[in-house]
Amino acid sequence: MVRYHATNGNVRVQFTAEEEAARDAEEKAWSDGAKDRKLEQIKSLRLVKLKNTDYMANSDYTMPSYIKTWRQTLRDLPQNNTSESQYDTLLERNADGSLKNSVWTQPTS
Amino acid sequence: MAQTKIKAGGFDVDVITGTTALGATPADTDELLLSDAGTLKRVDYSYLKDGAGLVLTGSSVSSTAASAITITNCFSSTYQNYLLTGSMIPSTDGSTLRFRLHDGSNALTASSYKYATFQTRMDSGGYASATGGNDGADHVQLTSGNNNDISNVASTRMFIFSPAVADYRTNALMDTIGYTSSNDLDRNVQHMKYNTAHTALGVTFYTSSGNIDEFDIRVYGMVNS
Repeated sequence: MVRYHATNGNVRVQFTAEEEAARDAEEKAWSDGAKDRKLEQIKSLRLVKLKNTDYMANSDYTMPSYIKTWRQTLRDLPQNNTSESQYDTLLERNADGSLKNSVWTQPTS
Repeated sequence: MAQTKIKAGGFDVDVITGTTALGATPADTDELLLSDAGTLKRVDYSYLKDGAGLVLTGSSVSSTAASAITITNCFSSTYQNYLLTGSMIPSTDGSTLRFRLHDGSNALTASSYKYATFQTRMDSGGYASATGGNDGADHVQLTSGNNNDISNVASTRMFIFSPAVADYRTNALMDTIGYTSSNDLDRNVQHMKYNTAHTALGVTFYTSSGNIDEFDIRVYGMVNS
C-alpha cells in the first residue's frame, strides 16, 4: 500500500521507501502489542474499581465480606485470565458503552 | 497657484467603492494612508499585518485520508513561539494519535521525546484520572484508543516553544480531547521536551495503525512584539 503525507495546503507527498519501512515496523509493533494493551486496560479498570472501595478499608468502617471477595476477584483477574480471548471477554461493552462482564459490577450483598 | 486640498465631504465614497478590489492579502509593500497625529502619511502593509497576534504559518485541511499529516516550514526564526490547533479522525478504531517534530526533511524520530500525561476520563461508570508518559519515546502519544466515527473527532491544541532555535530543546504544552473506541471521553494534558539538539521546522501527526481520514491542522506564529 502506498502511503502519502498531507502537507501544507493539503499537497500530497508519497512516503519514501525508508518512511514506508519505518511505518510498517511501527504498525507491526502496534499490532503485536494488542494483547499487552488489553491487559493494561483491564488493570486500569481494576484500579478504578478498587480505588472506589478503598474507603471501606478505613479503620472506622467494616468492609462487608462480599466486597472483600469482589476486590480479591478483581486482584486475581490477571492470573485467572491469560489469553487474549479472555481479555476480550472482560473488556466487552454494551451498546451504551458500559462494561458487559459482571465481574466489574460492585456487588451489593 | 495654490493647491486645493480635498476636505471632508469632498471625498466621494465612490473613490473606494468604485475602485478595483485587491481580492487577496496585500503585499508587504502595499501602502495605506493614515493620519499620524494629524499629519497625513503612508504606511506599508508589513507594519500592520502582524497586529492580530497570531499569523497562520502552515495548515493542512482535507476530508481525504492521508497516512500522515506533515506540515513543514511552519516554524522559522520569524516567530519564537507557536500555537497549533488540530482536529483529526483516525481510520482505525482503537488506534492512538501520535505527534512528532519535523526538521523540514524528515520527522524527528530519535528516542528523545520526554513527556508526561495527566488524563481525566469520563465513561459510563463515572470519572477517573491517570498519569503516564515516556522518558525516551520516538513520538508523543496524544490519545489512547481513538474512535473512528466522524462524530468522535480528536481535537488538540499545542503551544510549541522555540522550535526553530537550534540552541534550545523544543518544549511544548499539549492538550488533547479524545473519544475512545470504548466510548470514554478523555482529556490528555501533556508537556513534552525533545531532548536532542535539533532545529524543528514542522510537525507530523499520524496514528499507530492506519490513516487519518479527515483533518484540520493549523499552525500560527505568535507575533513577537
